[in-house]
Amino acid sequence: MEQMEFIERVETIKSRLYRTALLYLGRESDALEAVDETVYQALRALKKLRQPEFFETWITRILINECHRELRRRSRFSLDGEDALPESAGPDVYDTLPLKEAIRRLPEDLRQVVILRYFAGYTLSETASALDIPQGTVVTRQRRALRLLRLELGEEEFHES
Amino acid sequence: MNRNAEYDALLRELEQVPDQLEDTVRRAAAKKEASQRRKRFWGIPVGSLAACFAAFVLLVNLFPPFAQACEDVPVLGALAEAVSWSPSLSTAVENDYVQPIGKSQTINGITATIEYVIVDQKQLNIFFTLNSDEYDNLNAEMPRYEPEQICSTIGSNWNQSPGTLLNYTLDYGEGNVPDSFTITFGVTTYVEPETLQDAPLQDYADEMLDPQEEEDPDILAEFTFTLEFDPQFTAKGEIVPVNRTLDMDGQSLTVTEVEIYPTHVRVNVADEPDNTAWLKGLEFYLENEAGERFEPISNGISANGDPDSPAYVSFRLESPYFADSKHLTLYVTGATWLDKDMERVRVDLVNRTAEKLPEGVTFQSAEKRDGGWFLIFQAEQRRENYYHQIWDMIFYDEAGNQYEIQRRATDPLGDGHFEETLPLAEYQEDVVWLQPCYSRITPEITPITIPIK
Repeated sequence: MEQMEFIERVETIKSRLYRTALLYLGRESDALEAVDETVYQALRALKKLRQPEFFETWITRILINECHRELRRRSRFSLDGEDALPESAGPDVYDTLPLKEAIRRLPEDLRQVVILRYFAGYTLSETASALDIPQGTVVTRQRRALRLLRLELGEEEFHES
Repeated sequence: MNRNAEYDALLRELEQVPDQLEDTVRRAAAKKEASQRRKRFWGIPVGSLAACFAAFVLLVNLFPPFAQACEDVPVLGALAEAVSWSPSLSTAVENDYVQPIGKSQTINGITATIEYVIVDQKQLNIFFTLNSDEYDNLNAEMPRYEPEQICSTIGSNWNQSPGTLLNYTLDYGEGNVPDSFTITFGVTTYVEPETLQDAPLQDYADEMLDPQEEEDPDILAEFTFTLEFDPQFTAKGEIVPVNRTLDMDGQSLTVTEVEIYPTHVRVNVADEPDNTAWLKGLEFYLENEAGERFEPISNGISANGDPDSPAYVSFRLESPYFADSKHLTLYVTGATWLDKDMERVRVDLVNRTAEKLPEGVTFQSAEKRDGGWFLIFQAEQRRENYYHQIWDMIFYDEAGNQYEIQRRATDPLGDGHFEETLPLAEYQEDVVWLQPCYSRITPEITPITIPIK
C-alpha cells in the first residue's frame, strides 16, 4: 500500500478508532494517544500488510492490542484499573453503573464486541474479522452483552450477515 | 434515564472528536522518522565495532557514509564524498594522501573492489565497493585478518546500494599498522523479514526489551585480499612529549604526550592516585599560530579508556598534520568527571527512586513489562548534535551479578534536554545498580593553555 492510500484510509477510519479507544480507556487524552500509537505502528508495519483490503480489520486489531496494553499498564500501576465484572454478576450489578462505566466493566470478550458493533459502527463481518472470531460468535456475544446492559437495540442489528 | 436513552446520549458524546485527531497521521510520520534516526544510532556501536582485543574505545556519532558515485566527479571525488564526515580524512584526500589499491574479485555475481586506503602509523581506512545486478543492497560483514591484528575495527555495515564506497577503519592502540596483511570478509544482503500479517505487533518498549537477536544473514560471497601498505604512509606520525600537570576541580592531571598522525591526534593523560574522581571527558582543542583550530573528533573514536579503571586516558582531535603548523597550543576548557563514590548507583525501580543520580539527571519513568524493565532518564543536552550517554552498558543486581544492556537509545528533546532509554531486558528484580558514565562537569573555566610545539 502506498503512503497516500494509507493516509486516505486512516482518515476514513480514525473517528471509529477514536471512539473505540475512548470506550476502552475512558479518557480523551488516553484515547487520542492510543490512536496515535496505532497509526504509528500501522505506518511502521505497512510493508507487512500483504492484503490491503484487510487494512481496516488490521488497524483495528492493532488498536485493540494498544488499548489492552494501556489497561495492563494501569492495572500494574494501580491507576484506576477497575477489574471487569464477571458475567455471572448479572444485569442487576451492571444497572448500578452508568452505561459508559458498565461497558468498561464487561468481560473482555463481550466488551470488544459491543464497542465495535454498537459504538464504533463496525458491521457484523468487520467485527468478526477484526476479532478473528466467527460471525455466529459475534452474534452470541452481542446478545449476552446487551442482556447484561439491559439495552434493547434494533433486531436488524442481529440479522446482518 | 433508561438504558436506551443513555445509549443515545453516549453515541452523541462519542460524535465529539477532539481537534487533535486531525493530525494523527502527521504525528505518526514524524515519530517514524525519529524512530528510524534513533534506530540507526543504537544499532551501530554494537553491530559495527569488532574489537580484536579488549579495546576500551569511546565511539561518537557514527554516521553511515553516504557516497554519491557519479561519472563526472574527479578521480577522488567519490572518496572525498565518502570521507566528508571527517575533517582529518577530508584534508588527507585534498592533499592526495591516499594510496590507490584497485584490487578486484568477482564471486557468485558479486564484485568486491578495494579502491583506496588512507593509512598512517596508527590508523588504516580501507575504502571498497560491492557491486552486483542481483541485489538492491549489499553489506560487508566484520572482517578477519591473517595474521590477527590487535586493533579495533569499525565497519560500515549498513544496507547500502551496490556501488557505494564503504569503509573499514582499523585503529591500533599500542601496536602499529603493519606493512601487509590479508583481510577476509563476507558479503550479505538485507531482506525484509517475512512476517505474518496478523503477527502480534510490538510497541517500541517491547521491541527494545526483546532480547532475540536477528538471525545472521546468509553469506552470499566471501572475499580475501592481501593488502600491502606503502611504508611512506605507515611511517607517518610524531610523538611530542609534554609532561605538563594541570589542576581542575580539585583533581590533578598530567598531559604526558601528544601523538600527531595524518588521520588524528591523540592527547594522552595520566591522573593522580589521590584524585577523588575519574576523568571521563575532556573539553579541549588545538590551535596553531595562524589561529586555525583542530576540534575533538566528533565522528568515530573520540577517546580510549584505561582497562583497569573507569577513566579515559587518551583523547582524540582532528589532525593539524597538513596545516604545516610551526606552533601548536592545546587549550583545555573543561572536563567531565565520575566521582569515585559514584561508580555504582542503587536504583529502586518499583518506587522509582535512586539514592543519588549524576548531576542534572532526572529519573523519568520505570515500567515493568514481560520482557524486563524499561527505564527513561532525562538530562541536559550539553553539546549540540552530540549523543550523550548517562549510563554504562553494564549493570548489576543486588547480589552483584553482572548484566549487559544490548540496546539503548538517546533522543534529543529539542528543549535543551535529551532522553536516554534504557531497556533492562529479561531483568525482573525490583532494584538495579547502574554505573553512571559521569557524575559532574566542570563549570566553564578560563582555558588552560599548554604549548605543544
